[in-house]
Amino acid sequence: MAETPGETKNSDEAPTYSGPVTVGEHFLIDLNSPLPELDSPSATAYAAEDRRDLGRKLFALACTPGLPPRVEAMNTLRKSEISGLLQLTEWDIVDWPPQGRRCLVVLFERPLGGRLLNALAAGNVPIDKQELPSRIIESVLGALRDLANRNITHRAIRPSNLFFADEEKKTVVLGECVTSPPGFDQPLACEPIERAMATAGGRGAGDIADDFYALGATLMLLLVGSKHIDPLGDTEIFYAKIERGSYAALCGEARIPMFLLEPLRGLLVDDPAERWMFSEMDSWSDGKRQTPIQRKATPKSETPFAFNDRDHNNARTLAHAFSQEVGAAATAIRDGHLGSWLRHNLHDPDLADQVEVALEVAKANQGGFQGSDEYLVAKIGIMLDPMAPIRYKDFAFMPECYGSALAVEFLRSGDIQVAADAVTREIPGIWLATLPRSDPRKSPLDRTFGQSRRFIQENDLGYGIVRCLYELNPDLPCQSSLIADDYAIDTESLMAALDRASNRVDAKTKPMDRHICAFIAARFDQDITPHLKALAAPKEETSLIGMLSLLAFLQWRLKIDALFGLSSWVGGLLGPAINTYKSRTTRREMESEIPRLVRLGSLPDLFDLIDNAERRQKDAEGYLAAQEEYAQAEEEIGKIERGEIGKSGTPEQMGQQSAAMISIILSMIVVTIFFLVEAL
Amino acid sequence: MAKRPPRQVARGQPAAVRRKSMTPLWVAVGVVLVVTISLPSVLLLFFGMLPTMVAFIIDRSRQKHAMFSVGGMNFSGVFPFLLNLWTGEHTVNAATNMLTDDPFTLAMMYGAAGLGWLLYISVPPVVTAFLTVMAQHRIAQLRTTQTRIIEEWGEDVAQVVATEAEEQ
Repeated sequence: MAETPGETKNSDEAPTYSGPVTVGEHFLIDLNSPLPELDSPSATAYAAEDRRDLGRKLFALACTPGLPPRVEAMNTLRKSEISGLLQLTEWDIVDWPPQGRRCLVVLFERPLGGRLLNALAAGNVPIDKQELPSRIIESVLGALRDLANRNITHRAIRPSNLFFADEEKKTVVLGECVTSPPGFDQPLACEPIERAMATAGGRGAGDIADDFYALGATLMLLLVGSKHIDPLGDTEIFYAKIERGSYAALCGEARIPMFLLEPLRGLLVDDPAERWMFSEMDSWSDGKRQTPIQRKATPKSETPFAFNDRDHNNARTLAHAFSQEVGAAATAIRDGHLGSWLRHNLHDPDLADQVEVALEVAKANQGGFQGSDEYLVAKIGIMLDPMAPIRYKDFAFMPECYGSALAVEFLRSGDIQVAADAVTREIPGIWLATLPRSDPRKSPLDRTFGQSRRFIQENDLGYGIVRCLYELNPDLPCQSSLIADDYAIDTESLMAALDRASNRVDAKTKPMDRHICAFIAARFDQDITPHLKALAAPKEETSLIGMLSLLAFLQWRLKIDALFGLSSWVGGLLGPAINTYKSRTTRREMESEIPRLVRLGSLPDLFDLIDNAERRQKDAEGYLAAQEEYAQAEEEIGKIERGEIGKSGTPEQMGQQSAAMISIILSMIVVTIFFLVEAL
Repeated sequence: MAKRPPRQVARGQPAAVRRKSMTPLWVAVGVVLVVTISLPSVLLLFFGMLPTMVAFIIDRSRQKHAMFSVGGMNFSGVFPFLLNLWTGEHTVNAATNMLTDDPFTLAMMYGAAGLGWLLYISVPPVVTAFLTVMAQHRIAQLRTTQTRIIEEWGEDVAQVVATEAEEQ
């Protein structure tokens, strides 16, 4: 599990830090002044100040590394002033001494009155108890309205996330919602039934109806407390909410003030379509009476379905119980009684038929994944409760937030194979099949899961489940073990991180792994398929050239200044790539050239040195010529060794020929001399 | 239906046969003419060049190097006497006297022929030895070239030779 940013290796003594951390141009975070009372569940608070305005009270939240924060929401909120919400002032990625790594920190206006719950516990709230809910509703409604105008859902409305903005404790504001994925830190009581069934990372951004539910749950918990639900445990809270409805489950036996009865009933309606939202709440604020909410009873069976020592009277609780005990659920489903229970007790013959068909399919595919317990239970779970998250083994996620669920799963266990299996086995397809054709969510989700499946099925570098991790989490920093501490959220920061990593990483390690490749492929807007293909090549030298070409392409395209460390690191690994040249002279020249290019910090120049087309062609031509010369020499040696020296035949024959020629020449000389003597 | 052979070929064949059969005749005519015109020279050459004729007969090779070796030197031995005959009394009697009166004449002619044989026997080993030295030097040169090529281009460069050898 990742450490939260405030954790230190040795927590016996509070460490002291030499200086503040600078954020942006003029914000300073004082690391020696932690503010535990302002901590978020996934972020640690420190005092901060604005150098330009020293009277301005700020605080910083350092996010948990590895959790995908809501960067898009941060960018919107930084530029906006939202009434009723803690003002986000700035965010940045900074060196974070408490963890000895880089972290994302977010600066907010400090709520001077502190946390609402703390003030309530201390009995230090000047607002009348009857008036407080109205103040909260007024403030939160304003915040939700402004957020809705910016297409942002808060998804972190809970009692512990309400603050007093002023020292007089008169103005209530909502706390932050950006340091963790939507709904991640929410207690189950504040989440609608279906989203609460998902794992923390898989609850999704949802819509405004989920924020209204959370508002209702928050008000209820502030009014009646949580003593009656705390001992229940997660599963029993689900069952209570499903069987009795959220309002009744959260209210218990408590008495609700009359004026809050209707809004709380309206906000805690489990059907999002009937839940109170802006218009109903505005009408209520204006004093208009609303139609009393009639709770729709969940269809109840005449005879319960007994599973795991519990009687289930509806399909929803049964589906949830199945997801908790997959092995036992598969046994119960394969018994064949489920279809008959649905048909005769829940009077749902269509659902019964679907379940029986699913069972037949599983029997027909015995031995394959479609016949496995996990697949069958996931499929039946979706059929029994299509509103619930997709649940496969212990991985449960709302379909629109597969990405953040994946990221949290990676952070939690480092193993995301179950999440990958869920997609490759087309579990989301079963859920999508339950949607009507006209549902606007169907087409984009189908595309997303289709693309994810293709990525997962491709095993090369740059693909796989890690590619999905980065494609579906645009704000997730690169999780490569080489640079995880550098919090690289885009390709520019990735290159800078690799440059820094060169000082601490073993020089024999390649500056490229599955995470870095997938991160670049997901974040870089250019087509890098050819580079990835080269990287995935089985030959070491081709893979190295692919790596260099990709890094050089990034440096060139992003116009990044000299990368001395990375150039030196890559330059030291290029031996096998240089050895692709046949000529030793060329190799020596290249090896002597590398230090000069490393000093320039230019990866494109290094790449040009290693993979220059002209040099490569010259080398290839030279090699062919050398082969020919070698072969000719070999042939001549063979001839000499076989005695085939000249055209005249063997040395013996040549000797005889020489003797004949000498003889004839001598005779001609003799004849000439005698002629001359005679003539003179 | 087979074509009839061209007429020219039909005529040409008997002509070639006729030419071939006429050669000994022309040689005979030539010899008779030479004998008729210069019988003393022919006598001297016949007896003086006997070793050459022997070499011609015993040398079964196509190039007849032995005959040329012996013949060249043999003629060098015969020529001074032939010149004497041409510049002196060119008669059969004079030629016969030359061959019979002075044993030194024939000894000189045959000795010269012997030198020819000596050349034929002694030169080939010398040439062979020389050529072998040259060949070894050339092989060393070629091996050096090959080593240089391998040093520059690696062992793989010799692979083409190995592959060719395997194919053969």
